[in-house]
Amino acid sequence: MESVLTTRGLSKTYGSCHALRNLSMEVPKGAIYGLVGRNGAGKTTLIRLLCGLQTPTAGSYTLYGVDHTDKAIHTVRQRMGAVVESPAIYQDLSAINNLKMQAQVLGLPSQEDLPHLLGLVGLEDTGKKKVRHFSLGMRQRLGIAMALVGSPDFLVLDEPVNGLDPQGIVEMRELLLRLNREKQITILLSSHILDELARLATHYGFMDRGRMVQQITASQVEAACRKCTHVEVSDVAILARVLDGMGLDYTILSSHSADIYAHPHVTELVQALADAGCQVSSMHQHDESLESYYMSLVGGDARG
Amino acid sequence: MGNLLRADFFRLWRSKSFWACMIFQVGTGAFVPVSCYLYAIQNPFPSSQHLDEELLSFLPFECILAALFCTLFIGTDYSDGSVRNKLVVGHRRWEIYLSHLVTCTAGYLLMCVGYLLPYLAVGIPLFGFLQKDASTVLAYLGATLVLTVALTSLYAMLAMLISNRSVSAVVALVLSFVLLLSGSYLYSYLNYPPTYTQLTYDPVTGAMVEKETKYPFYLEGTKRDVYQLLCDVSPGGQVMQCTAWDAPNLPLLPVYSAALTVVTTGVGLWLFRRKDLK
Repeated sequence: MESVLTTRGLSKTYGSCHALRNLSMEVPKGAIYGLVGRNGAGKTTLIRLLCGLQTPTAGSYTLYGVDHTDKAIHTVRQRMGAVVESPAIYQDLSAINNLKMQAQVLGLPSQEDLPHLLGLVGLEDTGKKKVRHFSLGMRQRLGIAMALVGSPDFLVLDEPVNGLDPQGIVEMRELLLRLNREKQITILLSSHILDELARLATHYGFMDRGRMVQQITASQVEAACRKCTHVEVSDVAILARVLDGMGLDYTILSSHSADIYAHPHVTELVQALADAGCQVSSMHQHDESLESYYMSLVGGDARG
Repeated sequence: MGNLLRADFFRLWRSKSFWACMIFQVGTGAFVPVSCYLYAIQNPFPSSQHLDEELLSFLPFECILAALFCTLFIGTDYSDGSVRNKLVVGHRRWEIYLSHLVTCTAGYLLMCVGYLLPYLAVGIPLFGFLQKDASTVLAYLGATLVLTVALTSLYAMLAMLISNRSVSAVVALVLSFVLLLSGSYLYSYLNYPPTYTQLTYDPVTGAMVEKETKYPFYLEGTKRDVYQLLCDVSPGGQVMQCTAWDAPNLPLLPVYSAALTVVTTGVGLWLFRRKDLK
């Protein structure tokens, strides 16, 4: 599969601090690549290097096959859009003027598409209101719109849902999915909200202490994560006895709840429990989360 | 780089700090001749005010205003993070640096014009035309122009290398005061008279006796040459000399300013290329 981004042994050192160590990764074209790692894992440093804000201490990366030391990298970067940490927008300008600025930076001949971009991120009604009066979520969305000026086909987003309210998170997710599916934009994003990332990403890169621990596709993660059924009952001792009798694997969570790692025949199980005098108050199926997978991969002391 | 220049001028036109400085300059340019005229009416000495005297008196203020303007204008690119947008889409660092330098220089020159035009428009009806000959005026204006570029390049270097807008503004302001104070110090030392008339009381005759005495602070020989060189080379010294229309080495001043521009821009570009941005 064609790669948009490839890194080979990328390292970055600040004094004696090794922010990135020999990191190699590959972002396939058309993917939504989620970077997962705790604070200080090196996600933002990696994004800064990719955006040309900093230079690697060692190693290299290629964008669309062009090495970062090649002069042509400047041309290739025009196919990129990015929001690194906080959105890069002028506080004293309105949303549309910010987009006009970016269009001028890119040397776009036409600015007709800019109101459409504002509409795309839900900021079409902001008029002449200056960005300094925007909420954090509005700024975040304007940051994405800025990154989309010039119709990039590779979008790099660092914590794009930071500061968004629940509705904003849903809208952002829908926007990113739409950009990926309808415009075939490859997206590299980092996020601490792993549940949210799990709904978006097609590929994951798990980072820890500046290293890439594992690269894996979403379907591989899904296959690796065990399905489980969470049940809440009146007596967990009876539940354990019934499950043992059925030969099902389970974990007791509390005196009234347990996780069953299988697809039990629901009617059969409920009937057996009822016969044994145990009432079932709720039962639902869920996957082992991306968070659990990540925790098991890097160890249990992950901080986010 | 054309795209960056267009974008920077787009922002300059909407910059509050630019318009605040412009209003100050235009207001000062119109106020100074009126103030001088009122003073001349109240103090009608034969050699009182004429239009030349205050024509370049805006330079010390400009030195401070340029520090504020450059650091606020460029610092906004850092504080709002928008310098990242330029790098991400493939603009080279030297293009970003030079675009900022050109925009700030243009803004600064507009501020100079913003003082000079109202000054002449209000001053000529009150005092008549300039008394100095056109070649002298043009020579001083030329030196001022190159000095303006040198000051901008100095402040632009600071603003490009210090990512924190507040810190860069404070550093540039302190530097501007240091430049002006050091220039004033050098210039005043160079202007001490070689001798002064000392009045002494003669106890024999009981009369006051006038005697020409060597001025103790008068600079001579190599020391004077060194002070003159420092005064010529330093932007603060040039400001003082141009403001007073008193530059013995006037043709050399633009050369020193141009050299300062080349050095500061070169050093700034070299360091900015290696700077890690966040």
